Amino acid sequence: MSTDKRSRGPTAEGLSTTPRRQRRRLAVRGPRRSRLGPAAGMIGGALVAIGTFLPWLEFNGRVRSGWEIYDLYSAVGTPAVISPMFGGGEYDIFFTGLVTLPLGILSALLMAAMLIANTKSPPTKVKARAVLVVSATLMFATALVITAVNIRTARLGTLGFEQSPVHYGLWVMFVGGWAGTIGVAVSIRGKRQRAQKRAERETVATAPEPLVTGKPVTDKPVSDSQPLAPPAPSRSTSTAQRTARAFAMLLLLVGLGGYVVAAAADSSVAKTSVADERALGQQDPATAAKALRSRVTPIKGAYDTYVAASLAVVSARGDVNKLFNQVRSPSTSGSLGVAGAKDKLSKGIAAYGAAVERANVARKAYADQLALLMAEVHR
Amino acid sequence: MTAATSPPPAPAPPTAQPVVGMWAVALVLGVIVALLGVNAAIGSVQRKQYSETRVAAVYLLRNGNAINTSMQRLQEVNVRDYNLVKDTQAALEAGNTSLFNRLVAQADVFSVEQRSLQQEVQDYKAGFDKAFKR
Repeated sequence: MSTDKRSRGPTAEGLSTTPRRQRRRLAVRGPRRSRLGPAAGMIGGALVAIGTFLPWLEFNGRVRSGWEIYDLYSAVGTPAVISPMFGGGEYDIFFTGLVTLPLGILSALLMAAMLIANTKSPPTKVKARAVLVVSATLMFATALVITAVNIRTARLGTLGFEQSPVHYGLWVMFVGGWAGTIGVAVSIRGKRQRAQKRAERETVATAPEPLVTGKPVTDKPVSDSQPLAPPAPSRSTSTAQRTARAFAMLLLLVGLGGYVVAAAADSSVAKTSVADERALGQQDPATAAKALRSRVTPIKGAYDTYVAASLAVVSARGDVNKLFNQVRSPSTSGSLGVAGAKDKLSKGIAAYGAAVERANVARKAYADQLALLMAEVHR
Repeated sequence: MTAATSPPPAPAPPTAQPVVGMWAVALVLGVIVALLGVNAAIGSVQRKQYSETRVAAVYLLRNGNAINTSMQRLQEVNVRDYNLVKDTQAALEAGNTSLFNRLVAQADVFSVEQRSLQQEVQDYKAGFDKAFKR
């Protein structure tokens, strides 16, 4: 017994009584925290796995799940990753259910294993948790990115090749991926560390003065079985972890924001009618984009210039009318007044002629550019 | 020996940091997701611009010639009106009031057609802008 007490260091007497309360407190808080994250992760993993069998998108005239798309492409020999999915172009890559199902199942199992690992004794628990958390993070992040890529590809598929509305299965998987990621984030032991530190501070504050035993106190290391063994991570480490965590979450949000922007832009692209697309032919957008833009942009510029010139003609003509009225007006009397009005009229008419000429130049520019576009399309 | 002379409490031994690199992994993943997301956003915006260009091109292919015809017609009317204005000015200079008044009245009649064509051109432009910004 006395050996045991010595091994607990100078606060052994205090720890034998006070820490019990701390232990109980941690014992209540710990499991709640350690269960919440893995449980959310398991639900996320399950959603990813189940989402594989839910409708993903309308493809080749039929609403298909991720597993059905895998089934469809397994005959071709590329069942996991399809590229190109909708006939080519940028980002035309699609992951089938063959990738997402194992990801969902594995991540759910990893989170279940984490739940079990939390019940083990500290050394085993810590090592197992580290491996499980890293693996689960990888799984969920991969599932999340794959789902986001699939949603994008499906939406982009409507640009020039095929209508492929996204159905709820992909969104279920997207939610699952985020639930899992958040579950993993909650599982990471930041809160536990803080709780332990707080408990340690309270213990030091409430512990009685060390008893005089007559024996020098040794700096014997504290064993893992000791209650409330102070982990004493340095303050800078803790701050660095907090910063890293905040930064990682920020980056994930930036990524999500990027996908939201992409989805918003693509949804407006998806409104393009098929008839409109057919008018320009089934060209590859990636290669045709630059050529088409180089034709349309000058036409738009010429058209804008013409419209501005045309409005200037209207304005100049209005001025001429006003000047005519001014000349005819009985209030314009006297040779000086009439001469001045006539002079203004001459200038107004000259301005009108110049405006008409500018409109004509702009019209010709528009016609020339339009002819180039027509020749390009009908070639 | 008293409590005052007793040695200070032993510092806690450093415990293992088992989750080394966990947040580093999260950071790396965050960077990857962020890059993918930003790349997706840029790519999509470019594709959106291209899509708008396509819509504008389709509009021009369908209405471009009609717009051009309207422009030509308007130009003819503008030139005719300009000549009329010049004649009116000449009549004014010559002091031929009756001719001046007749030409002004004629210009008023022509201006109806001119305004109609102007409106047509503006309507086409509104349609083009609507298609371009859809």
